[in-house]
Amino acid sequence: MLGYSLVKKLRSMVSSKKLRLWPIAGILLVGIISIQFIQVPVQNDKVTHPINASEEVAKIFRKACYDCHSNESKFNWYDKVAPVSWLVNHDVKVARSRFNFSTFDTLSATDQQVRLWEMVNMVLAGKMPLNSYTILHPEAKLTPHDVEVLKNYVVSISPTRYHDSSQIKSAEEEQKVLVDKSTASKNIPVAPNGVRFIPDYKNWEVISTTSRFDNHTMRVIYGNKVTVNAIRSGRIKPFPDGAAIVKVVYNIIEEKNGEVYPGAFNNIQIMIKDEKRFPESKGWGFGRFNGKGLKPYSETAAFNTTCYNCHKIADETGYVFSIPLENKDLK
Amino acid sequence: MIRMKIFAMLLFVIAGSYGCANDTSNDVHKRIIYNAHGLRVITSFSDRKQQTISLLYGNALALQSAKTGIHDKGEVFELVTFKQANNKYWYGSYINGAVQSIELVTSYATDKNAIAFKYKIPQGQVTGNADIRIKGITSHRALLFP
Ligand code: HEC
Ligand code: HEC
Repeated sequence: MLGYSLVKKLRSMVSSKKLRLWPIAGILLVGIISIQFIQVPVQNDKVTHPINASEEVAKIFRKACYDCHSNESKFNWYDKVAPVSWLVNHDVKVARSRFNFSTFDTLSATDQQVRLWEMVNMVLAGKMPLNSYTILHPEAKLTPHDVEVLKNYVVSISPTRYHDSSQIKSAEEEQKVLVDKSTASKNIPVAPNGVRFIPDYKNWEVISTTSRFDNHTMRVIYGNKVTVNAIRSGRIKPFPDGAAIVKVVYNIIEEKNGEVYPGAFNNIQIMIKDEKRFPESKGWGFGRFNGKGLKPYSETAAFNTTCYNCHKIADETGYVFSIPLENKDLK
Repeated sequence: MIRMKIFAMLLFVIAGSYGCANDTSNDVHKRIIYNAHGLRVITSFSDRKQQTISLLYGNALALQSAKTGIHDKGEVFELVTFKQANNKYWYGSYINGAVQSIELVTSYATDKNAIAFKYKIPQGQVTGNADIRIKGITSHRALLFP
């Protein structure tokens, strides 16, 4: 459409003797044509390990996500015209680097599960598929029915194991350790990005407690003074420097009658706000410490970006999910 | 005179309701950061059928007894039961909503130097008799907080 109207305009300009504009239009045209050669269009690699899901589910991903998150990108001619193609190429490159439906089955079962819940939540938050894409591809928008199908799908791949005896056993083992009190170590672990574990969190206030049916864990989430004051006064966009949040994660024991009890300790996750140190993740530095030994998660500092990318879903509340919400937001 | 009185009463009512409307700290329906006045978390649990999420807080003595199973006088347990809410930004997580009830259990020494408990419900309504509630609240084991 764009190309057609341009030609028409040029023709009318020529015929209406606005010939003084002709050199400018000519330069523009030559420019548009020559930038077409600046970048090679998106290439599709092989589909080696496609996602293993029912046709009903796969169909939704194909329609709404595959142009960017797979090696089966199918673009229209206008997506291939620079400068639009530059944006498209960039989006596809970034999207594939995050996850790729054509190689999805190379991920571990747990990693697939985490990613799929993230997908559903990106969709629910209205962040995916990208708005800049659905403007030109309205057929890629998800219907309420599509969303229901995806929600049911993620629940189905994360089943509840009621009264799980292995969970009960490890919780009992842990209770023995509690009584010996022999586990406390004096060395403070540090994550590869420099975020230190903060033992004092136990004396902070609890901002929330959550119970999760995606990964079957529960959490107690603490905030330091700066965090609690920021939340109480509603100043969280952005959170002030010095804010710190510690989330303690436990496995759970779920009973058929609805009761959910904590199982063994699982890990501790931290967020600290420091605009200067962590400019690439909106000032948040992340840290994760696994198991009772609080082993720092990941070998390199790059994990920080992985944490941040999912926390983008909560950008409306300063990248923090678990803050107390207004009544109207509670259901 | 009567008119004056009605007017004064009206003013009073208006002032009163205005005062209430502004006092959000005691609004039982609002989701807040619960102020536990320095008590520490002993454990947390939830009930998907009742749709509640609870935090059990305690003073240092209560925390100690939740590790050893042995009670002493001077323990303070505070069980805060919240309504379970959906986490606005994450399908897959339930979060504590408004406070539904608060139960308080304190231990003391009897004349014969045995340990006994007092039970109070500072906020909300709770089903189940006091003895059963005390037993439940004081028998939770402490979570590990590394
Ligand atoms: C037009 C291209 C495009 C389409 C279509 C698209 N995405 Fe994305 N997606 C992106 C880009 C670009 C990013 C990185 C955005 C960022 O982090 O700022 C991304 C990021 C994501 C992430 C976050 C990954 C991470 O690193 O944590 C998820 C999850 C996601 N997309 C899911 C989906 C789903 C599900 C669909 C289909 C319903 C979809 N996307 C459709 C381009 C796309
Ligand atoms: C796939 C999405 C995802 C990824 C990846 C992720 N988080 Fe989170 N995080 C969440 C969600 C959802 C919550 C809140 C719900 C809950 O925990 O019950 C949360 C909560 C938190 C909290 C408590 C504050 C808050 O935002 O509610 C901390 C601290 C935290 N995450 C740290 C981390 C760290 C450290 C990493 C990386 C090692 C990480 N997160 C990676 C989804 C994610």
